[in-house]
Amino acid sequence: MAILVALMFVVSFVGSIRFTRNRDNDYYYSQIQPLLERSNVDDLIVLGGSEKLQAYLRRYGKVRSVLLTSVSETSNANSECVLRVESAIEEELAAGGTVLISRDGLVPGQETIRRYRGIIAFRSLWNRYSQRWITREFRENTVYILQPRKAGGLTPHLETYRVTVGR
Amino acid sequence: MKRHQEATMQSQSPTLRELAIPFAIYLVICTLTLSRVPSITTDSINYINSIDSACCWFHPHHLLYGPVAWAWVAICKSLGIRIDSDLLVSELNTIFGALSLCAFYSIVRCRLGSDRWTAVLVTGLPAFSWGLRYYSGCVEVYVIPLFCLLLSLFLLSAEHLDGRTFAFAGFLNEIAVALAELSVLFVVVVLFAAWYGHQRGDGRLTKSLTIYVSAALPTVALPYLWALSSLHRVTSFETALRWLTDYGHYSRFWSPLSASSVFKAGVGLGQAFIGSHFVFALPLFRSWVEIKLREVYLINDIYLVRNLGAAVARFLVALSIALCLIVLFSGGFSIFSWPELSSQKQRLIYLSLVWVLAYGYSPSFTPRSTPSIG
Repeated sequence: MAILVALMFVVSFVGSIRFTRNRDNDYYYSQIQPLLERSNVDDLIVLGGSEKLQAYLRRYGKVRSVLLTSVSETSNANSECVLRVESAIEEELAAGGTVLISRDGLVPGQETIRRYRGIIAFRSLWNRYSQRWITREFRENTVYILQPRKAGGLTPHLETYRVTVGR
Repeated sequence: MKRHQEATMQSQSPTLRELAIPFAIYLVICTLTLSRVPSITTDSINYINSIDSACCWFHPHHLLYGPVAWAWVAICKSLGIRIDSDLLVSELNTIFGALSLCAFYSIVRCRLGSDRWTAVLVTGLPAFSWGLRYYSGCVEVYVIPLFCLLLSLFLLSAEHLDGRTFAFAGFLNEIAVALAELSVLFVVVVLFAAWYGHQRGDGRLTKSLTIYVSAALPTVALPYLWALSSLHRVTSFETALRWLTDYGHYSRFWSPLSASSVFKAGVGLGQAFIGSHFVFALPLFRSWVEIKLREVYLINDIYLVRNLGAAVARFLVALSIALCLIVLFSGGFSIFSWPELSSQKQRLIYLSLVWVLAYGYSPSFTPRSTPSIG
């Protein structure tokens, strides 16, 4: 019996429990960490279809977020949902804030596309914004950053930070 | 209860001082390893958000968990404890995890007649299993009900069952249901206990079940009526029914029984005992499971052990196989001593098996293989 208890302890602790003590081992937290690091309370984050990511943002970031699938669900037509998201982005930029778009907003998963056909309508919007955003690649996520237009401001470019997250 | 029965029960109940040993050991171990990874359980992050925002308390499928957790956090904060509310709620689960082990210890000690240290050792099995261990250290709804259900099992496995036993079991079972609706599966155990008692002449089946229902019904109906009366969106019988059967309306929560159901039940059972996340550190196994369980989202489980070496994972697989073999052999040898067991011990084993089977059936039709910690 003692051997059995010892084996149970070693297997569950070494193989599972010890990893649950570190937040960096949380898949969803690792996804939002790059967004959190580069946003302030006044900024806006655009997410694709993950309600879970939105819940994580609410918990750890206190940042406002837009969930594309949710907008898509509550709009009458594809053009309407694109317009609503565009307005939210433009309002944010006009107010001097930054908009951060998560990779799952640009490249929704197959399951998200299957359940929310309307999400592919946003492609036209992203094509337009891709001319002016800064792309920051992290190990676990890619963030597309839109900032207010300023004279001498940053020009569109790509930055890669592959080793900073999830270690 | 007759006098000689009371004397038997009292002499069999462990003292508080005796129970303090498993309670304290488990509380300390669990507190030192509270989870910081909410993604391992399906809804942990949503529970944390709703407790923190003090809104959407009443969820139809775990009605009282939100209010209880919120009250616990409020009490802790009023006492000047200023730490994250998710850690506070996890600690509440840790306390009930430790209490669950005390109930389990009492079952081993009183119903199986083990000595004190053997009982402590046997209690180590659920204590260090992944299911109880993890769910006692995170924000999830299942551990407080588990305590109620283990107390019910303790009552239902007594030498003699009478009306009071079924009344208490009804009350405890429905408190558990109000905290996590899945606990309704324990009704199968109560039915079996009533039938078994009837066979042994402990009381009529209908009488036992009537007493059970008359205690259970108000216990669960009152909180639900309270919730329904305070929800703005519930305006008619139809909307009330729609709210009460919420999960039933989403196909993503259910999958039809198929060949993979057995496999999913196996994954759930494996996770309940050993966690088994380490197997995802073996690339071949990972790709095989991903094909086998297409509709089950395992990315968070895989991510959890991404830094675990394949050699360590192989070693843990070997230990798990050894563990399974020990369980199978000792179980096999125990069958030979089955006729020598007292009817009370046999009944406890039957009741436990019925419980495991009832809960084990659950992950076979839910898409996500939630470990059945019962």
